[in-house]
Amino acid sequence: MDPRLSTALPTLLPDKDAVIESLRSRILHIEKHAPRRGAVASSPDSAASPPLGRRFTWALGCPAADDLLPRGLETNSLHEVKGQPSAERGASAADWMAGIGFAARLAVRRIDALAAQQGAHASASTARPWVLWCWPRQLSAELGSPSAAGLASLGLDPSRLIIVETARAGDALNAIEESLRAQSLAVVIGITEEAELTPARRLSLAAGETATPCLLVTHPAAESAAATATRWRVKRLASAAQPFEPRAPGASRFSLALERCRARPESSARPPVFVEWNDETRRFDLAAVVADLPAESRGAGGGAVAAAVRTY
Amino acid sequence: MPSQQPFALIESGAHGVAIVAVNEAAAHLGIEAGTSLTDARAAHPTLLSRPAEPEKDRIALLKLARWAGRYGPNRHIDGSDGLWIDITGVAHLFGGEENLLDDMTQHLMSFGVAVQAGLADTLGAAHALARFGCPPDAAWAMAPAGETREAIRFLPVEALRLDAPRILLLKRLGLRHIGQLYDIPRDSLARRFRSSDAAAAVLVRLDQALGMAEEPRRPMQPPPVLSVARAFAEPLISSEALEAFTHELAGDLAAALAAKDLGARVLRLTFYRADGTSGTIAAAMSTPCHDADHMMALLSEKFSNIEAGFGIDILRLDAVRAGKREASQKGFTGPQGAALRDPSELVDRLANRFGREAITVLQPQGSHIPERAEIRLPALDVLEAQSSSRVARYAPPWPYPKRALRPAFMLSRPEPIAVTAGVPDGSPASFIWRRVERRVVRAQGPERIAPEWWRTLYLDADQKRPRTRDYYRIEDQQGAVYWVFRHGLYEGEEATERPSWFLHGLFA
Repeated sequence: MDPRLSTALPTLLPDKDAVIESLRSRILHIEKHAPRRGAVASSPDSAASPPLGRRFTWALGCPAADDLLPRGLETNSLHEVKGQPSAERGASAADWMAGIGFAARLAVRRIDALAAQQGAHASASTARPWVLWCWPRQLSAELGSPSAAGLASLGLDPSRLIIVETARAGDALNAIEESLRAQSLAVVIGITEEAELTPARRLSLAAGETATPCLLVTHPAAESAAATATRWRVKRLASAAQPFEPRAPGASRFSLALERCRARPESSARPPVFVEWNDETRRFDLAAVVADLPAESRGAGGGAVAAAVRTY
Repeated sequence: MPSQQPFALIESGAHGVAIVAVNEAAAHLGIEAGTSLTDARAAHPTLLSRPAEPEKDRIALLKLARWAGRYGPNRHIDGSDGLWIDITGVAHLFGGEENLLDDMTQHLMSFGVAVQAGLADTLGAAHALARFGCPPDAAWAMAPAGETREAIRFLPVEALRLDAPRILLLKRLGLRHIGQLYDIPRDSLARRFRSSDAAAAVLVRLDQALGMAEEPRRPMQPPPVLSVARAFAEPLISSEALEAFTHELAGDLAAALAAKDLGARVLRLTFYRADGTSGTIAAAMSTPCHDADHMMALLSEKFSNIEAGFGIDILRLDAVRAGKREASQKGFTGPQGAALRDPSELVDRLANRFGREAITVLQPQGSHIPERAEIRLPALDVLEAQSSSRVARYAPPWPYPKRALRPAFMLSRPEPIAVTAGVPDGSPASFIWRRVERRVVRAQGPERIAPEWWRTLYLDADQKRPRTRDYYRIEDQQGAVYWVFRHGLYEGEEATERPSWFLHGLFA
C-alpha cells in the first residue's frame, strides 16, 4: 500500500460529531428549512445548549409601554399582575378580570414571540406550545370557569391549554412550581389570593432554571410578593368605540402602571400608560382617547367617533 | 381452648340443630358433621359448641386470599374452605417450589389455620392433591412438572370435583380411582351414563385435571399485564431501602415493557409485611410509559402512605394496564435550541398528586347552547389520544369563528340579576349583580340562542320547556364587560311566563 495513503487514513475517518452535524444540516435542508449559517458551523460542544428562551424576552408591542422595561419581559422570571382594588380590602370580580385579562394577553404575546423565534425551524413536527392555567377552586366558584371560545377570541389556543384546579391555595403554588420545572410549557398563568415571600421566591427560582415565564395574578388588595421581576397594576378603562357599531363595547383598554421593575427601579415612578389591545395584530397599542366620556355623548357625535377612527 | 377439648360448630336446620364442623379432638371421639347436636351431646356430654358464622368464615377466607397475594397476583377462594393460587414464575423468589410450599404452610399454621396444600400443573390436579393426596404427616403434596398423570392416578374419583350422583354411578361401575378412567374408551363411558351431560361432565373434569382442556378461572383482582417482584431475606424497614428497591423494580419493569413495545398506563406497587398484612399504592399515567425514572417519580409521591410496620418481606410492581407504545424519536432540532418537552409527564405528576379531576383540558361538544358547547375532561384521558405526534394526527380546529364574542369565563350556574331594560327587547340600562348596582354604558346584542328544538318534541304540555335566550354583551361604567341574557321572551309563544335576567359570564 502506498505509504502516503496509510498516514492519510486516520484523518480520512471523520469524527462522529462532525458526521452528525453534517447529517443534521442535510436533513434540515431537505425539509426545505435551511438553518442559519451559524447553526451549521457551531461546534459540537454546544450540545449543552441553553434552554429555549434563556436570553429571550418578549414585549407588549407598544413602544410607550415597552419603554418602561429596559429589555422587555424576561422569560426566565416571575411577573406579577394585580388589579386595582375598588373597595376597602375587597375586590370585585371586575378587579380580578382586569388583572386576568392583562395576564392572558401577555401570554398571547409570549406565544407569538415564541412562534416567531421558532419560525425559521418550525415544521409540521414542531408541536404547538402548551399553556398551563392554575388556580384554586374557590376562585373558580367566584369568577367562573375558563371557556374555550372566550379564550380563543383572546388569542389563546384552547386545544393547547391545561387547566389545573386545586383544592387549596397552597397547592396551587405547588402546582405552578412543578409546572415551571417541567420545561414543557410556553408560559404558566397562576391566579391565587396571595403569594408569600418563600413560595414566590421558589417560583422565581424555578422560572429561572427552565426559562419558563410565570405570570402570577394575585388579589388586588393583598400584599405584594417581593421576589418578582416586574409587578403591574392594571385597571380597565372604558373601551374604545367601534367605528361601525358605536354603542357596542369595543377594543379593551387598560391603564398600566409598572409598580416594580427589578431591572430598572426608577420605572416605578413613571405615570401609568394607557394601552389598547388590538385583536387583529394581537398587540397593545397606545390608546389615544383616554377620557371617560359621559354616556350621553357616546355614539352621538362625530367627535368621539373621529377620535377613535384615528387610532385605526 | 385446650386441643383435647371436643368442640363443634352447629347450625339450626330443618331437622333441629345439627353439627356442621368438628375439631380434631371431637373427630377422634367419632363425632361427625351432620349428626344432630342432641345425639352427639348424649354420647359425649363434654362437647362444647358454638353457632357457625359462615359469613365471617368467608370474610376470613378472603383475608387469607388477600394475604396469599405474596405468592402471586392470580388467586381466589375455592369453595368455602380453600384457596387457589397461580404461582407461575414466582417460585424463584422463594428458592424453589418446595420452599414456597413450606413457607406457605408454615405461615398458615402460625396463623392458627390447619392447612393442606397441593401443587400441580393444572388447577384440577392441584385440587385433587390438596384435598385427597396429602400424606397424613405432611402438609403438602406436589406433582412434579409434567408428571400430573401419574401423580393423580391413585387418588379417589371424589377428587375430580363431581357431584354426588355421578360419584355414586362411577363407584357402581367399579371405577374408584382416577387411573381407572384413563384406559376406558370415552364413548363406552358415555354410554353408561343416563344422560350425555353427565358423561360429558366427568370427561371434562378429567381433561381439566390432566391439562387437556382449558379451565377458565377468575382471579380476585384482574391480572396485571406484567409483574416483577422481589423477596427480601431481611424485612425492609427504612424508607431509603424501600426507595432503592422500588427503583430497581421500576427498572426491571421498564425493561420488560420495552422488550414487548408496551408502556404502562396504571402501576400498582404491592408490599407484604412480615406480619401478614399488605398494602398497595398506585399511579396512573396519561401516555404509555416505559421510563423507570418517571415511574419512580410518580410512585415516590405516595411513599409517605406506606408504613413499614414489622418490615416488608415482598415487593411487587405490576403494570395493571398497558398500551402500545410506538418507538418515538426524541425531538429533532438543531443545536441552537432545546425543544419544549411533551407535557404528558407533567400532567402525570400533577394528576397523581392533586387528583385525576384536578387537571383538565377543554374539548368541544356539538351544541350551540353555551354551557353545553364545551366540556372539561381529565387530562389523563385526553392526552393519550393526542400524544403520538409522530403519526401526524389531524386535529380538527375548534368550531368557533375567531371573533366568537364569548366570555373568557362562564359561571357554572348563571346568576340571577335585576335589570332595568326596555320592553320587549331593549338592552339593559342598569343591573344589580352581587348586591352592587352597575350602570350600563355600552351594550351589544341581542344574540338570540334558541333552545334545541329536538329536545322539546316529545315534552308534555305541563313539563318545563327550555326558553329562548337573548344574550347581551354589556359594559359598565368602570370598563368591565359582562355577558347577560334574558331568559324568555315578552312576545310570542314563550310569553306565558315573565322573562328573567341572568348573568352568564365575564369577559377578560
